[in-house]
Amino acid sequence: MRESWETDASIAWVRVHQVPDHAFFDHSVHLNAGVGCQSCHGRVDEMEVVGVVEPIAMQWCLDCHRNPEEHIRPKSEVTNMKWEADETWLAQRSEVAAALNPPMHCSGCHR
Amino acid sequence: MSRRKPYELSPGKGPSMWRTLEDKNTDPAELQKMAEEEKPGGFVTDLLSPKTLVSRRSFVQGSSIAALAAGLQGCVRRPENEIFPYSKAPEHLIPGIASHFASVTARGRDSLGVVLTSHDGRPTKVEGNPEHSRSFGGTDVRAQAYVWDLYDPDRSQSPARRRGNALANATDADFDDMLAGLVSKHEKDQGEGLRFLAPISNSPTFRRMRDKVIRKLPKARFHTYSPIDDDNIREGAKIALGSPVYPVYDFARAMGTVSLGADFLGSEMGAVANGRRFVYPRGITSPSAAMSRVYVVESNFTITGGMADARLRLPLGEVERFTRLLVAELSGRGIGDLVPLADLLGKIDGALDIEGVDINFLSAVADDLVANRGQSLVVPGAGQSPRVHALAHAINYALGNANKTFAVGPIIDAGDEPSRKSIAALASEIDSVQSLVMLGGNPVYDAPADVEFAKLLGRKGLTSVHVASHRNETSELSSWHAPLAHELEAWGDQQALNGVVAIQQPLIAPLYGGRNPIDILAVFAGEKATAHELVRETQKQALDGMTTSFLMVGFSPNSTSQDALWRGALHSGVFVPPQRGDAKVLDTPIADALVSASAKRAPVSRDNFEINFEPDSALYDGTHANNLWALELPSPMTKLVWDNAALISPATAKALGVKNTQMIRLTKGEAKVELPVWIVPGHADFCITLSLGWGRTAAGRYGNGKGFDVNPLRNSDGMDFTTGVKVEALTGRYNLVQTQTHDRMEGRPIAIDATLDEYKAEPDFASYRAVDPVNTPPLWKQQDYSEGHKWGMVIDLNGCTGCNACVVACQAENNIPAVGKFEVERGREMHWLRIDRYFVGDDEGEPEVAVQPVTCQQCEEAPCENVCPVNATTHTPEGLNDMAYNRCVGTRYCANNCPYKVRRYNYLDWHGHMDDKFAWFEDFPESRKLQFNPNVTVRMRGVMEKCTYCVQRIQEGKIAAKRDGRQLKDGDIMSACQQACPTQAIAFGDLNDPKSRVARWANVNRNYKLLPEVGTRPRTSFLARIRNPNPKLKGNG
Repeated sequence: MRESWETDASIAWVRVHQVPDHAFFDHSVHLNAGVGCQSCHGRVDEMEVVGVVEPIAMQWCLDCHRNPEEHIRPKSEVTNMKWEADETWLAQRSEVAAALNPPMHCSGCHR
Repeated sequence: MSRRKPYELSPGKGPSMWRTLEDKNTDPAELQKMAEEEKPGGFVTDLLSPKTLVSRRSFVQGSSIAALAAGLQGCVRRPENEIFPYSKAPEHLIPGIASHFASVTARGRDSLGVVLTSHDGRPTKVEGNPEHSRSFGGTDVRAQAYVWDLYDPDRSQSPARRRGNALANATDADFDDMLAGLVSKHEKDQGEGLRFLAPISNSPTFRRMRDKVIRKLPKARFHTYSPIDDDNIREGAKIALGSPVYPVYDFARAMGTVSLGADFLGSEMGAVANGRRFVYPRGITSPSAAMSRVYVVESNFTITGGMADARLRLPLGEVERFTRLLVAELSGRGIGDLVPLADLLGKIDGALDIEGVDINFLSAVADDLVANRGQSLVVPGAGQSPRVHALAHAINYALGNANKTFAVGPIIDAGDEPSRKSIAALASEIDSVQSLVMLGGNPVYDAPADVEFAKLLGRKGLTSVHVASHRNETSELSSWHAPLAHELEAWGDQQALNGVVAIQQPLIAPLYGGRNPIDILAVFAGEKATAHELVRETQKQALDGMTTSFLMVGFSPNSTSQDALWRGALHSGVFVPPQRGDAKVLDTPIADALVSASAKRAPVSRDNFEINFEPDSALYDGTHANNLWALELPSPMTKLVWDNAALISPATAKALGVKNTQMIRLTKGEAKVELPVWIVPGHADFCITLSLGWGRTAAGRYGNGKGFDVNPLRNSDGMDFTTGVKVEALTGRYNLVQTQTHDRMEGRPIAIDATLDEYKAEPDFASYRAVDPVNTPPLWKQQDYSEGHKWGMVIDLNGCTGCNACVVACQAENNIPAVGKFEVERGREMHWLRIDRYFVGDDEGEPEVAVQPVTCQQCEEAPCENVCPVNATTHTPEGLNDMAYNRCVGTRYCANNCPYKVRRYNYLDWHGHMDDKFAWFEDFPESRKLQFNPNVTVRMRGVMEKCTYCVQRIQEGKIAAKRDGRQLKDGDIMSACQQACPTQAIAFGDLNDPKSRVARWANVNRNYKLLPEVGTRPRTSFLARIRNPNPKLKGNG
């Protein structure tokens, strides 16, 4: 990284997560809905070599879109890798989820 | 939610099944091998064998397992690739998020403010700048298409020098050395024998550098030449007002408008702003509202003629006589200021000859102008003589329209020579020219034929330097050539006719080292500064000159605020606000001009044809001749693509004995041009309209040899129109291709219209005329759309001119390919949005025109969805008719079942190949890939596609609102067609939001839906067109 900064050469990161070209994914809306990093990318903090944890496939996406309640957390905790749902959150999360309305039709992701 | 049960996915967390097969990087053989090794029970290995009967279910199962097998191998399913981020990321640049910049594009001496969308440094889309008063947020075809020119694969990519008979590549250093040599040579002789030739420029910095070069090299001379110029307007203003000012129209205040051969909504300068204002007194929503009346006198059927309430077809050469008659009529109706001119005209032999002019039309025009004093407008065409412009000024001032329906702008570049005279002067003095520096343009192709520009360049001892976007016809004959920077690659500034100055800011570094004309002039002027610094300096000087007016709007003139002003100008796209000139009509010079010209003119006939030249609606003067979008854009009236033709009236065709597409030969003096005829109902008889810009030989791979070059017929004395042309019919036919082959509605209520009187008598005539909806029971359970968003569109046929800006905007936004002439002939054009044009009326000679944009109607009961075997097209809860390309297997059932014929099928891999008369271009040029909108899938062969209401924009808007925690409001989401439309004829938005424009328009009484009897319940509806003819003119057309 130091070398990259000094030489202006890019770091060649290996791509781990790849969504196909015909699926359009927007991080901002997921983070704002309270989907944590960990929900899709896994415990990256514990990975020596980063790998794919979840299938990142349409059905898996839809599982959450149909039933977001179990997969969301308070917005303040989206970057928290160790977060676990507590009583207060369990009590209010269905209400939060009800307001989300994630798309379940084709053009939600395919345009 | 969805009206049907969602497609049942197999349970379990397997990778989605089509992902692998679609991926181009995967070797199918390897995949097959891996699948075979798995040997699952019942798996059919030979999927492609015709002997094996494969049910859809087993095919899907098999490929799903194949995909799973591939997935286990890891790298096969997801080929490893790398991401290269910035080492030090530029500020405000987030990969994947578009940025927007204000800039400006030239329209001759006028300009059009634009806002450009840039994706990761690639400009991809052009919109109008709402703050620029020549755009008001609207655009035209050329603005939408010019981003394509940036990525044109045939742009000139390096300097070149003449070696024998051809150009050979040279380096930038070679070119710079040559330029330095020229400069030092001419510094010694004060510019003796040095000439510059440039198209008409609207750039204050260009003019400043030009003047500086002249001060330094006083014997040098600048020439101006553009094939489409404003000489007549300037000369006319000089006669009538004493200075070269331009009238800037405000159609919003004009209740009675007369066009004297002016296509003010199409080819004239300022057409976008004109259109924006034109609809204000036209788009009425109740019968009691005041509606303007528009008269058009013209030869060809233009889109302005299509919008006319009454139209008179006249040879363009007779429009001057019509204008004189109008002066006399107005004077007779008590317009005192016109009495001296009318008296004078009465004394000139033949000046007020009524022969061939419809007296009823003339008196209706005069009546309406007088009735609307102070809110009327007479608009002369740029192709009309300076005398017509002078008379139009006299009429407009006499009617008290000045500073109401029009105002003159500031004096612009008073010293600039008229284009036609300037190039003639260059030709006559060519023997004394040693060095000719051409900054853009293509005079070998488009200079007047009598100038014989190609011969001039061949003169011995002449060093000619041509800087151009392409190695075009002129470059091929020049001693040196260098690439010209695209407007999106170079700093500049552009003034509009109303005085507005906007900064042209580059969005991308020159792709091929293109040069900025300002930089080249700076070399001759001895300036060391860059174009950016020069532009800033020009604007600083302009600011110093107008300190007081800026003080009035709260700017202080010190240096800090200048920096702020500059930044503000870059941000808003407007630097100097509109200015208004002051002018008074001078009768004596007008009288002198009238007396000195001959009023007599031999009438057009079988032996004396008039031909008129007009800029092509898409290629313009040939500037966009290699632009695929422009080439495949249906001409607004003829719907021809990939060619131009000789447009004639049905009666003329009969007189000549020619059929449509038959070849004819036009002879004017020595010049001969052969081209096919195209019969246009409503065209003036014994007149032929020819569009410029076609028949190029060095335009590029797409434009070469398309259409017919008509420039050989165009001489200095007949640049707009000319008579004395002989026409003979030839035996051959030419294959002209159009996108719409049927011109009439056969009495069906498709594009509905009524006169204002009919509207008053029956305000809901549109639904009355529509056939009563058949109460077909719906096939599926009715959906409730009352909650959430309900997207819809309304198109006002009172506003739509058929100009095509939306068609190109849609193409640019949605990555829609062009397919070539051969494929269009097979009905395979891909435009999602088409504009149908119908001729209305029984008289072939005098029809009216109705235009109607048709795109996916987003039916609530969509017939296409019911027949899709794979659920590739389904409905969203918001009422959109979705199209999942990846799911489509290409049965085309949906297109067959669509009553509106708006679905388009990728018969070939248009983005990989271009099939044009079987000349296949093997590779899709890399540069063109840069233009694609990354938010829209690039569709492959075998996939159906159609209008989505720009679903990517809807999603982007919804996500932005969700992110910011606010409600969407009307105007947050605009479809590409809506945003491009110069007349705001398209409303798109949420029908559940009662305040939205679309919801209001949906409730206007002239709203109707297309083919309601089919029971499709379309979301798109139309506002029926209202025509407002003078009741005295019985049955116009």
